[in-house]
Amino acid sequence: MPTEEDELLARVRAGAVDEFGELVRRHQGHVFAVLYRYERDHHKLEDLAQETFLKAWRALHQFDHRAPFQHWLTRIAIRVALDHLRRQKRHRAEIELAELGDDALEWLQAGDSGHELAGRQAAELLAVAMRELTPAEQVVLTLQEIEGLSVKDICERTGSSSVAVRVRAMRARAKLKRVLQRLEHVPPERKPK
Amino acid sequence: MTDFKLRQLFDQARKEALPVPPPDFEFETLRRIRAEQRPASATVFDQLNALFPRLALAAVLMIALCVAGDLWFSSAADSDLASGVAQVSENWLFAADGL
Repeated sequence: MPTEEDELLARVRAGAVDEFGELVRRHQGHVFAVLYRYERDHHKLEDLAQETFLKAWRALHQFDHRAPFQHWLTRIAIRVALDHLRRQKRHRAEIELAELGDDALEWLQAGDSGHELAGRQAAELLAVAMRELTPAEQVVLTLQEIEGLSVKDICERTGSSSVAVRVRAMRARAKLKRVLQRLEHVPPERKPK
Repeated sequence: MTDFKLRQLFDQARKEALPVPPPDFEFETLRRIRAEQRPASATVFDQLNALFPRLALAAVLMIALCVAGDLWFSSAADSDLASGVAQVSENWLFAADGL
């Protein structure tokens, strides 16, 4: 039996552009949440979210209802994020310590007994450290560790095989650990003022 | 960096408040979709550009037809070398008024 969203999708496919606005309204929060893990600048985030909805609009005839619409939209958002990370990778240089902030550096160097880092600072530290990972590694690690998705779900969202996801996640975690270890041993004179 | 610390970092990052889409996001997205639907006005060059493969194919066909026609006509006419030379001799060497 078709759901209310299926009926809405049928109307959009029939050419009702305004009805697509309803889909945007329903799923915009989710799309922003997915993309925010890969782009923290609000203007760029908005562009990426728009790109996601535009791609969904163009490919709507390919949606086959086998999975919920939100899953299909998430797959598009992840592809948009992956393309964005690939573009960024060409322009971004090495991590600069000034990007980390005092709290993050203190937390890194405090050992296991140190205070907990606030959510925002932890996310910023991760975003900066993850720049040394490949875009595909960043996506897999983010989906697994931050979104809390299973390997099966990651395969479904990214279109990769389970072996590829497992290998990529393992490699990404090891690489991230090495980056963070390197930052733990920054000499005091190189720390940001 | 211990596993414990890495886990702590992921757990804390997960707690970060997520951004809220701006109020005009839906409007802006629909505006972009509508703009995409509207056909852009095409210049003469755009139209020629769009027709390029067909124009090029038509030109190639025309050239091929001309070459084939020329070959056919020349083969249908007297193609004997000796008679061709004799004709040239008559016209050029033994012409009454010279060249």
